[in-house]
Amino acid sequence: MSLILSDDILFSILISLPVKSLLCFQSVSKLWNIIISDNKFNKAYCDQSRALGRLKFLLLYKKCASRSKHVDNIDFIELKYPQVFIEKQLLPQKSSNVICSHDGLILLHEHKAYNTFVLWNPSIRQHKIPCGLCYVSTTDDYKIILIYRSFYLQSLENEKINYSIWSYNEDEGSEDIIEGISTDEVVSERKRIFRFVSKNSIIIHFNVKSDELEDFIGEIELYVLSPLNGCLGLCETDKWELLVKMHWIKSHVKSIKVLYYTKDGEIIFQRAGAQHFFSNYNPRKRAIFITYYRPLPYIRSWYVHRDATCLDSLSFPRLDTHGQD
Amino acid sequence: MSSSTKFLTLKTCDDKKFVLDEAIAVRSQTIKNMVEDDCVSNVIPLPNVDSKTMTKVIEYWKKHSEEGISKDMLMDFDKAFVKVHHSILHALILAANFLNDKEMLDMMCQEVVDRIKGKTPEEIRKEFDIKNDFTPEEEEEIRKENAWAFE
Repeated sequence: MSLILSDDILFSILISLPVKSLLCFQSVSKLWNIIISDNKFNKAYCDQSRALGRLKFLLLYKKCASRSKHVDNIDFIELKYPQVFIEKQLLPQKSSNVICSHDGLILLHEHKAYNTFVLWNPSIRQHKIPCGLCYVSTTDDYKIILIYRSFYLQSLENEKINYSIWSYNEDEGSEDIIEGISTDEVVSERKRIFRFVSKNSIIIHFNVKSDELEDFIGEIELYVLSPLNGCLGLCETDKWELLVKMHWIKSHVKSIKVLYYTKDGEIIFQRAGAQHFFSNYNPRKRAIFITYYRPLPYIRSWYVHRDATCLDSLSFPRLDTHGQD
Repeated sequence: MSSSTKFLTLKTCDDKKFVLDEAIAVRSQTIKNMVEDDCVSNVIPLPNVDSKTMTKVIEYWKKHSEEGISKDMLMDFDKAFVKVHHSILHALILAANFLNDKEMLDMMCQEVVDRIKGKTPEEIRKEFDIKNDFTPEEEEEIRKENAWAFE
């Protein structure tokens, strides 16, 4: 006897399948292909990943065999159960940094090539070379933002280039490519590479809704930038001190890398040099839990370079940026 | 409180009658709506559900309404409950859908997901009795796009 399913039931079955199965099942029939390729389905699938906390965590290992040769390996582990290893992939673009991730898409930046960015969806193993991105809820679309050294930004929308260029009156000093943090509606960069910025640092805050660049000068002395519940999170030093006062972290406060804020308000972070475990801090319980992730035999000689959290997602912006230099 | 206990009679498509505590039966949103709209006479007909399936559904409802049952026990029950033959699973999904019991439907759908996720497109077609309406060229084209997923 065979299952004859209504569209509703088929939808709710498909939405719970892993990405790999879905890519496979696109060739079952035209109907299945249409459902799986549909934007609405992709959006629902991504929302479901988020709701279920199906987060993958990327660990990027780098090994310099010689000066010119980089081997970049990415392990995916489950954030909730760091011992559970999901899969291994190679970086689509060699010697890249992970800049930010959003809704299953990851923005990579190639070393030494100041404006080469790679947009990558590891779930479906596709990548393209555009720029930066953020999600615009009003149009239910992703906005692609080109980030240049001197903070010029262009946006691409609906596969068309929007030529309005926002420029930032730059000071002398560092013009390095900035580590951006992508949140639901804001892409922001800092002038300094490190995570903790000082009082005088300027955060450039790009507001998608108003299409404007805003300067944001910190009034507090130190803060950490991180995506927080879909907004740009600023963690004040005071609060951090509250976190760290009771523990060994204080002396290492500058080398803490905030990895993720969970829904329950728990903060997951990694201390520099502590490559084999994450720490979870639960503000309500005021306690730090340490979780080891599955140590791999080769890790010792490899350098854990960067990391990001990433959802399962089928979507990939259909964008052609060729010939738009 | 037992004096306030109301019973409903459900009649399946094969004319079997089930007498059930209303508090349990309203796990079905469909029945709940009927009760709330006061359109319940003596017997609620369930034209889309047969007695064999209804027996299973009631077994599930009763277990999930038991007082003081632990989460672990429920989990064990659910695990055993879904380990049924394909045709029964199918009937239970349709019944849960008709009765509009989302919790049960989700659980049954999850079981289907677990059963099919490692399968090939051919196996899926067989399982769901789907006709392959692609031309060989079209199918090849789609497979090529994500060749890694077929490894």
